[in-house]
Amino acid sequence: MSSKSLKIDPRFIYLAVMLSIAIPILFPLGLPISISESSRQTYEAITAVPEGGYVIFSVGVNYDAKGEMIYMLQDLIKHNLQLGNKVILLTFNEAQDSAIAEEAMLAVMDDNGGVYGENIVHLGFLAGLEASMSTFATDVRAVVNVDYYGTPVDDLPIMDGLRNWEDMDLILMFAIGGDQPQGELRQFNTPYGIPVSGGSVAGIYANIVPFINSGQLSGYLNGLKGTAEYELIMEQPGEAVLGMDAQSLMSLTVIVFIILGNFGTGKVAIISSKTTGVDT
Amino acid sequence: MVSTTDAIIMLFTTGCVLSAFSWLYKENKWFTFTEYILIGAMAGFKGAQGIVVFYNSTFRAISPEHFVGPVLGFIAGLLMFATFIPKLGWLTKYSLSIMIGTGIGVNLRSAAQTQLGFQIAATIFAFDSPSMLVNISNLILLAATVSVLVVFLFTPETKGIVKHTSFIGRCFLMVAFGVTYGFKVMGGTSSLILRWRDILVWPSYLMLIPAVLLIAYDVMKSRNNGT
Repeated sequence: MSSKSLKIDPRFIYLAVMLSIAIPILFPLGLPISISESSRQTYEAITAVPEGGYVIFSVGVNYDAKGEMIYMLQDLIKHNLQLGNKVILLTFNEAQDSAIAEEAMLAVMDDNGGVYGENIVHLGFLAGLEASMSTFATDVRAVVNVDYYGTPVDDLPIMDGLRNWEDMDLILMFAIGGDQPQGELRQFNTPYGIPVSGGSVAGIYANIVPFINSGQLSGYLNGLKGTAEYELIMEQPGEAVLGMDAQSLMSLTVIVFIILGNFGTGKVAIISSKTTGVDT
Repeated sequence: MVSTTDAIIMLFTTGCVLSAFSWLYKENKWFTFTEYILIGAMAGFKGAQGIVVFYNSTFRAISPEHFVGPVLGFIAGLLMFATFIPKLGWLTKYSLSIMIGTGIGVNLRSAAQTQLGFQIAATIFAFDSPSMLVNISNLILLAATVSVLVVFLFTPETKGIVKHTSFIGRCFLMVAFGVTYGFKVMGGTSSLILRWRDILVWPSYLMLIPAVLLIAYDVMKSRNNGT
């Protein structure tokens, strides 16, 4: 009562998955990438910010999701700097998220006209979750006195024009779990009408889609795929685009194994019912 | 050109990543070693970040204009540690009540409108779009919303129209779970891809040699032992 496809050592499946990722990394296939409406909306929300406008990056990404989110952060910081927007990085979720924000900022700042304190600043972690967001929206100085490096915000020229929600043109929220983007919607979008966009890991994207469909979120990027789409829209293919070949081939491998597994299970069920006369 | 320091860091990082992957082959001491390193590093990193935040939001934040807020915050934070002194443990309740009260108050301010009002409005469709596809899509979304809600109606007996609508709702739920699972797999794959991209660069890929040799040695040993 057995089928060969059910007897595969799982370690061979792991090996096949690893190879399906490694091969396209070494030999890129250049598979086409379709661009979703949601990614396009994110691009439009960013390009709609008037030059010199304030874009708030609420980074809720920790080291668990760094691999999937770091290029998204870098691309969006880069694009905002290129457009001449003022980039404000901060984190409301966890203190450790500040390190990811800093890593992304340092990676792209110098090559894209970013001058720390002039058109980009990292305010670090603001404790208190939504209470902190709410206060930040009504009076920035009430929750921020120094930046991530301990410099008083009064010494940073970029902070001169940022007093409250009236000066904020766009909130970009980067989420990795739970109901993260809802906090920004509750504290910035619903009461003040500030557009909210950003991106999340693919694992929670399904929870976010209802807020895109209702128009509350001005688009949202879906993990590495969303980042690749964004890179293509802004015509600057980068790291995420390179990873999409591996993504496609790996998904294909998983589909093949799912079909094999189902075929094997079905075969076992047929043999079993023929032998015993009982449907399984 | 990679500097010696960077090369050592890259080799060590790749070694840790491969040790983590080695669990897929079988439980081993390399995996346990990496596991302990990760837990220790994360605990240390979070602790260090916490100290920076504490320092920035208390001592650095205090100024003649901003005095009361940071000091009260500091005292409230300090009271959280009262739980470690049995006789003063009750003081923690003051900090917790401030946190919970403030949190709920701020969250509720626009929660109903954000999560209920806009979402209900988004499911009230007008079927007068010039595009037939949009109308069909709206109809499917409306059918899905209503039928899924019927699944969670527990008062009426499940028969007749309720039974059939509930069945359609379950089908829509299965599609939704499938989509969520698919996205989760895609997310996991993305992390895996980016780890592999870190491995397949000079000099990181050198660590693949000892990894493959160790697995080959273990396979040979297992064969000789007949296991």
